[in-house]
Amino acid sequence: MNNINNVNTSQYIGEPAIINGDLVKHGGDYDRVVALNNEIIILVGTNANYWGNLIEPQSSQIPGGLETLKGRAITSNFLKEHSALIESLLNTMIVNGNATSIKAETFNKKSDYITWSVLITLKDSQKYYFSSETNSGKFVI
Amino acid sequence: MATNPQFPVLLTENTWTKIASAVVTGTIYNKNSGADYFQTYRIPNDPAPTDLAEGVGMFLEPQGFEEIKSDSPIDVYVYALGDQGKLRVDL
Repeated sequence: MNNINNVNTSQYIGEPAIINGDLVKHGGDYDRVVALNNEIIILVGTNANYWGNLIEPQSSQIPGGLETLKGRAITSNFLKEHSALIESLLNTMIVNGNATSIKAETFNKKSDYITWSVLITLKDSQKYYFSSETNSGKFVI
Repeated sequence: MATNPQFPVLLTENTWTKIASAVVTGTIYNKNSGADYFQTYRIPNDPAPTDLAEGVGMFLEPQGFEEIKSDSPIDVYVYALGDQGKLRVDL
């Protein structure tokens, strides 16, 4: 897996910079949401296990953290392992002091297809829910 | 005594909804796979949950149902995310 620390995420037009996992706020919640989405996508990847097309041209996509599970059979154990890996990848948000807890779930709603979600409790106690199904997130209670 | 299924049990998105009161067994079926569902429970008459972080993911696998099993009566709560929830509940 490539080292994400070598990637300069501030180069992407229209997206706020992400520096050492900080939540970047550009005067409003919308920008903050965008920054959070980007942080999750950068650390974990997308449904396709690659950086999202939202922030990276397909031609230069970099494998995300889920790459190590690519090609595995979908079993109950796989779903647990998948969730644990997402939590592990996002743990940097806790290490950096931006979040206090990370809870991931992996869904296998159809036989050959998985989606995942993560609920992040931020340092200010707000809760942010990201779903790979839409590659987007929102604040929830 | 048998009862008919409760259907549809509709859940407002982004809130905890009590779907069963003081039960020890039951089955919950997913009738809208567009939502992500989370469950928790309470001793009957205790205050409803307020924190999504307490929830445990439901319908993780394609079978599309979850069993309720408890030694003593519980109130069961479900939270829908991503879409309005739609369930069938057999008690």
